Amino acid sequence: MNEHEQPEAPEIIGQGQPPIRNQKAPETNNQKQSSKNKAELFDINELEHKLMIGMTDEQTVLQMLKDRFPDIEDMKITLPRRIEFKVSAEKLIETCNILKNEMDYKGVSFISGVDRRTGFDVTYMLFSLSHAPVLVFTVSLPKNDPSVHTVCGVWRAANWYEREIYDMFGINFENHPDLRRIMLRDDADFFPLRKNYKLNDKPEKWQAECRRSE
Amino acid sequence: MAEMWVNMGPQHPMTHGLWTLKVKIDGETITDAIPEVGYLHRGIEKIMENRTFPQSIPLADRLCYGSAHSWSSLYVFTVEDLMGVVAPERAQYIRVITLEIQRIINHLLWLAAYAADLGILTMFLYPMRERELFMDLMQMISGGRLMYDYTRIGGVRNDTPDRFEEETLKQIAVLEEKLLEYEGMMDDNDMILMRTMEVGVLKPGDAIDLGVTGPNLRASGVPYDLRRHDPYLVYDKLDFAICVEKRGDCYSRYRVRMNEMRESMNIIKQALKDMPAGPIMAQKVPKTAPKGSEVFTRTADPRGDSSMHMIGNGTDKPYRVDIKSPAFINISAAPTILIGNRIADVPSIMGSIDVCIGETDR
Repeated sequence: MNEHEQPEAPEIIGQGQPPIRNQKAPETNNQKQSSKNKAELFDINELEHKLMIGMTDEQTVLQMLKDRFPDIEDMKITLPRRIEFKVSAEKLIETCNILKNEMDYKGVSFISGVDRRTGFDVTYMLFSLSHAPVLVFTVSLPKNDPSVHTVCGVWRAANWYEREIYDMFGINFENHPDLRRIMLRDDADFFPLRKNYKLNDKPEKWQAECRRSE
Repeated sequence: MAEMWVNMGPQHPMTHGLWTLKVKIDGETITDAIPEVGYLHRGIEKIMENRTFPQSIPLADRLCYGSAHSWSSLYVFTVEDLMGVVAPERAQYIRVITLEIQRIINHLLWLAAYAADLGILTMFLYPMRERELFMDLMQMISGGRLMYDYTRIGGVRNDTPDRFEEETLKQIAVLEEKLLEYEGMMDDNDMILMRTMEVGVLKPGDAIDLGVTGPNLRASGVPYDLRRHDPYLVYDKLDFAICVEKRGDCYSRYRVRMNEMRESMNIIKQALKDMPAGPIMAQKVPKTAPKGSEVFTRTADPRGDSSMHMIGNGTDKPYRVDIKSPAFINISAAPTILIGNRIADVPSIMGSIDVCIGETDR
């Protein structure tokens, strides 16, 4: 038997057969599979109906939120279609799960970080396809070792937003699947959007590199 | 068959900018993908914190070469919300017109680039030719062809020039005819259909969970448009349809953008007709933002829903500006769209998403 002969004939595609499209790749891990199945539980006709009929207005949603979260006090409408409130870091995941599964806030519009000098804020903005207002809630974190649990398990969209906040502010997101620098180089040892970082504050080793390239 | 990683980028015709897509392939099938961005990071958020409010308007233009006006507009809307300024009605109509012209320019650029990705070089030239007409319109009103620097806090820089309305209607009539020609070249082309139909399917549930917005979300069958569902400017007074397709593949994304150009032309015509006379700048525009003010503004960028988060601290500079780009989160959804497709379809799929690295990396 020839050594170079293939033991099994590879699958031939395109000879008289239509090309196979969207062949499901084997799932790499269980987590991916479960989140995928969850995302598919979604009735498109019902959704279209809701969006065409009209969305729930902010007063109704505010009342729903107040009924569901009686311990959150400073919940208010700031601008049209904006509801803002504060959430403690311990209750974040619980709150997010309720907002997603019970209140129908299925999408993350953005997650942003703020250096308040006395501490850090992480702000989450959620949108829904059945309620008109967007929810904006803030988690306050201490100045030293800011750390909060990731919400990647609730919305997959959070992944890159949290990576960016880690990159810019150095806020640690616990249990994040892939917490790496996203904009800066991997060997950066500073966090540029912190208030103690000034413009043109380039680290020594990078300045040397810049001079070499000139 | 053995699995291996293939680097596509940072220098690759597929990327349309500097970014890397690492794909893991098993034979020809993609089993995993890792997008890497950050090559074009300029620290615009940090620079904005160190400039006064009007100084950052031209900088916001530089966020994206394809749709500069929509970014400077978003910046100005956020500052206006922060300061409590309301632009006069005529200025709002002018903004709607220029934003929709910008949307057409962006979609024509996308169409040209996408057709070139798929291998029809004729289709690269034709939309570029019609894009010139709309860039001429923007030049007429603002003086710029790519970077306009046209909106101001509290209004717009100058009123519409003479003959603007008839010129606009003339160019719209040209594009309406040419769109049929493009559709003839794209929709009747077997090669285009083979490379786009049923390729890169994004399911609606996945799209929402991954944060995909804009034309890509509407192509997955979710009729969600910020101009309708979170209206800004005078969009609630205008009559337009939400362009939506059901399949969620590359062909749907192409169809959504073609229909959006038609709707944009429809909006421009209505706005030109309804535009009232009057001032184009607000009477009084403060130089500083009030202390402790904090706003979140969203607009429907041509690529999706862009948002900005701004905090004022009583000075003439913002305390914090956070820019969220739709292209950033659309790229992060790439692995879910790509897995299960063929490696030869990567340019087709990533091209249909409409990536702009300037606004992704900021």
